[in-house]
Amino acid sequence: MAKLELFGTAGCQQTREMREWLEWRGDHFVEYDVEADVEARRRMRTLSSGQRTVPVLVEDDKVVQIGWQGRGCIVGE
Amino acid sequence: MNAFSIKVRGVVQGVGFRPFVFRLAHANTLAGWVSNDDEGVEIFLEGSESALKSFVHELRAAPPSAADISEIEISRSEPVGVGDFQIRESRSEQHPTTRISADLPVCADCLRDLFDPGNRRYRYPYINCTNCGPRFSVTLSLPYDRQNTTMREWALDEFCVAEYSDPGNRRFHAQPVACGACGPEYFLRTGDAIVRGSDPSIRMASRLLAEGKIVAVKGLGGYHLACDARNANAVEALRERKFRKEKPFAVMARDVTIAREIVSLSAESERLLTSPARPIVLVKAKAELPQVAPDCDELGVMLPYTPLHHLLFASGAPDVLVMTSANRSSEPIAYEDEDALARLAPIADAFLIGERPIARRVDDSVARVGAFGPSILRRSRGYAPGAVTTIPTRRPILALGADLKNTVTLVVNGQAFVSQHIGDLGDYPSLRAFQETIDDLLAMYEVEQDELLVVCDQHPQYASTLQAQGFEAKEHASVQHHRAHIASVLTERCEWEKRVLGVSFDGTGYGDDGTIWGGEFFVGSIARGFERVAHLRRAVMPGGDAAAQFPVQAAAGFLAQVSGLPNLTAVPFSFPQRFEDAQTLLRQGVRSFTSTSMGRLFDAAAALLGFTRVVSYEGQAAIWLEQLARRATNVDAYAFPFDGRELDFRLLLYGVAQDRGSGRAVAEIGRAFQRGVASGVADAITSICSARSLDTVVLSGGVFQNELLLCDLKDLLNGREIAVWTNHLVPTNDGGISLGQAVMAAFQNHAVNTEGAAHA
Repeated sequence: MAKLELFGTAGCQQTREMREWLEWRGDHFVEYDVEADVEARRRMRTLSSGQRTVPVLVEDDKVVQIGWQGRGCIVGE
Repeated sequence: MNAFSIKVRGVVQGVGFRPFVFRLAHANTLAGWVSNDDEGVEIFLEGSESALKSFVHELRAAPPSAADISEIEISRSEPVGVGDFQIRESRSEQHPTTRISADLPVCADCLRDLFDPGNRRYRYPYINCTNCGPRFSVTLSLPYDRQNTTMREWALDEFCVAEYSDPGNRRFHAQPVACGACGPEYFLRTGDAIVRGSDPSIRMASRLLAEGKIVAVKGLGGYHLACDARNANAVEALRERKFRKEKPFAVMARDVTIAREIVSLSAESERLLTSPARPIVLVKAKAELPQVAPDCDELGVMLPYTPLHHLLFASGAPDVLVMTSANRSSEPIAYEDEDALARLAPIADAFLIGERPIARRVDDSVARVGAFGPSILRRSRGYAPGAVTTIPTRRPILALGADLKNTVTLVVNGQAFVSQHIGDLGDYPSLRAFQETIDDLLAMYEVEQDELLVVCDQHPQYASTLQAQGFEAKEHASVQHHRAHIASVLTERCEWEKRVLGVSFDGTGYGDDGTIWGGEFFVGSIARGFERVAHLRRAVMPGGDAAAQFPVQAAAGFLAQVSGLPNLTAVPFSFPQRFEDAQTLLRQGVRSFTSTSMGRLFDAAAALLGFTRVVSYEGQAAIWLEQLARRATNVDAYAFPFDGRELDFRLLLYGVAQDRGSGRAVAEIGRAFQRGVASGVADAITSICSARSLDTVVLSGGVFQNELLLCDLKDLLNGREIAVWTNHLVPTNDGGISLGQAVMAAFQNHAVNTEGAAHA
């Protein structure tokens, strides 16, 4: 089974919507809060060529989606 | 005795509104006062009930022609017995939301004065009145009063004071008013020699233009480089000195009669040409003007809009002038004298310089009448800084747009102010112009950075994205490029909830999956968001960003999936070495990225039809292809099948290559390609709309500047009961992105209205 990871933040509406969608699909995924988790933030940056929009959905270490339906929140340094 | 307190909002400052109110109050024998405030105009009136009613009736029925009232709020007040009627000094509060009037062309009355030898302002190049003249380009801050304009350095003489203070005069409270005795002048500079005095310097400039020289002319919102459009040597010299190889130049025709001689003007185009914004209008060329618009059947024409332009033509300047914004290729237009002298010295033979400073750069606007009505390709002078629409949000939002054809949008109290055209954010001067425009907008509307929601594109490497991170904003958000295009159209119509099919085609934009998009179909609404439902079949573009500059490189990417092709390095294709290099990159899988770009698909087809050189401006190959296709009349189309998820380009390009190889006329092939694209897109639209019960399709993105594509789509969708919406107020190209970003962010948390509409 593919490994799914969701990088987002606690306050981001789009992160919430992507989470709800993944849950509704019944996917198993791991979620990281990149504001609280420095290591996750670093990994997200590396995987998605330095960009800072969340949510980011990663499947087997490959970015499959940035933002939710075209909208996203930007995380600070 | 009764009293009314009236607030008028909209474009009501700098358009002679207070003098109008003054006269109306007098006519109805009402006492009270009128003043400008940050939200518009405030009026207090007292008198008989019938006089008050008649005042309100006339206020609604016949406001000044340049005013654009958005709202009139009337409430009853206690009479205080003021006795007479006064124009009061302006008041200033926090967050002004007055709309500053855009610059206006010189009016018929001022033109009469300008050429009347008995008039005090005979041949005075800065003549204006409350109905016409500079506004945005001279406004330093709000409220709009003389001391807040670039005319503050010139004190009015007795004559001008008398007119300025006479309610019966059309220069009553005309802020930039002046005359030859008290106001600024023009002078001409050639090398170290200076000709003083407006009249001699304008006559001299006209003579130089007639002799085939290039003159830098200071206009309303910046400098133009002017030369005789019918003099091929002059135009060629301008191209060489400006480093502008092929991009068409705009021309200014002396009057509508001359314009009709050089282009075919429909009634609608003529209306656009003579509209108050006086934009450059793209129309089909009639006369051959060598070097002005090479490889292009269209010509950008405008009419004189300042008194200076009229004086130049009246003093013997050629009747059609190239008038191109004064900059080196791709840099922002020069508007400060020292900067212009320094930057333009190698280009211009002479400088016609006016003493009135320009408050900010404002380029000429560009518009056309298209298949779906008038559209704006560059929104600047005459339109900016007019509010485009009102968005239901109270948050101050700053949207930074995209990196090409950049504009920014500031939303204050729901009003969306789209900036003037800034340009491509490729180099330092453009980035500075970008920053200046933002600072200017924020200062004008007194918005602090820390209150802002700052919105940028999702592209991590965009200069505007990197700039966004530098803002000490309250909150940051990002919006995907192609959805912003679709949202810009819906915003123009205030359609927040409407569920539509959005077709977003352009050259480049960062997609949800980190790949480059550009041929996208979405279903959804601004409020609920847009789901990507279909797209152009993916291709791998070799060589990174260079694929946008070399059509053969894009061709290599698409054609890698097409089999049975003739040898493309042989005649008639003669693809250069770059094509084979690109193929090598693809095989090795290095410096290549996945793309669904419709813009690149047009480039690939152009390459197959002979455009194998580098493009010298954005969209050039696609424009070349469209012009070529327009010369043919055939109606056949290459197949461009839609399978419910993807538009498959393989048969389309196979058809083009086969027919070219077997010697079919290139114009016919171009036409069949264009028709093929339109048919495939129309099929996709019909099928998605029917599957998802949609009755409206929105088209946006740079590819929809292709008029032939729009005409074909209109034709193919005719009778299908699908409404087609396109951009009318902001450009369909990336100039409209900032508006779309602003509205998408405003609705980001689904809580724009007080109810906080829940997300299902």
